[in-house]
Amino acid sequence: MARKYGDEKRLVIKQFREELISDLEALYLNAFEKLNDLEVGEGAVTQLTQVLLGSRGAAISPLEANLEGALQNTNPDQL
Amino acid sequence: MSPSWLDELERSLEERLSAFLEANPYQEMLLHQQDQQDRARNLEQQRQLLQQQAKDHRQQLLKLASSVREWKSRVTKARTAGAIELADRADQHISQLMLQGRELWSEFRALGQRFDAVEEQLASLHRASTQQPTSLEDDWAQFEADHELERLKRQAGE
Repeated sequence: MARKYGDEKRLVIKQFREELISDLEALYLNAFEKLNDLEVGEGAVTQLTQVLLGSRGAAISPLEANLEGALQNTNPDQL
Repeated sequence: MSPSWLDELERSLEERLSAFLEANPYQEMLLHQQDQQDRARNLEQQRQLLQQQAKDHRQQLLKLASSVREWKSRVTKARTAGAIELADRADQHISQLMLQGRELWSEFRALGQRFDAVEEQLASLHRASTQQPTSLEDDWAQFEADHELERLKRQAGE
C-alpha cells in the first residue's frame, strides 16, 4: 500500500476520525440502552448515566476538537 | 439624571428597614432565616424541574437508540437483498438520527452539570444553616424575645 501525502492523507485521517466518532457514538448509545435495561433502580441508573456521559464526552470531544485543530495547524506531510 | 421620587422613596424605605433591623437583631435573624428558607425552596423546585427534564431526555434518547437499532437492522436486510439505494437512504436516515442523538447527549450533559450545581448550592445552604454558630448578640436577642413573650403571656393571663 502506497503512503499517502497532502490532501489525500488529510482526507484519510478525516474519514478515520469521523468513523471512529460514529463508532463511539453507536457504542455509547448501545451502552445507554443496556444500562436502562439493567433494572438496578432509578438512583443507580442516574449515577451510571452521569458516568457514561462523562466517559462519552472524554472519548469523543478530543476527536472532535483537538485533533481537528492539530490537523489544521500542521503540515499533513509532517504527520 | 436626578433620582425620581420613586428612587427616593425606595432609598428611604431601605434606610428605615436597615435602621429597624439594626435596632432589632432578633427580627434581623428571622428575616435572614426566612431568606434562607426561600432560597432552599427555590433551589428544591429547580432540582425537581431538572430531574424531570433529565427523565424526559433519557426517554427521548432511549427512543432514539431503539430507532437507530431498528434502522440498522433494515439497512442489513436491504443490503442482503441487493436493494443498495434503499440501504443508502436508510443509512442517511441513521446519520440524521445520530445527529439528533448528539444534541440530546449534549443537552443531557448540560442538565447534569446544572443539577450538580443546584445540589452543591443546596448542600452549602444546609451547611450554613446547621454549622453557623450563633453570635452572643443573636443569643441575647433570642433571650430577650423569649423573655418578652413570657411577660406578655403572663400579662394576658392575669
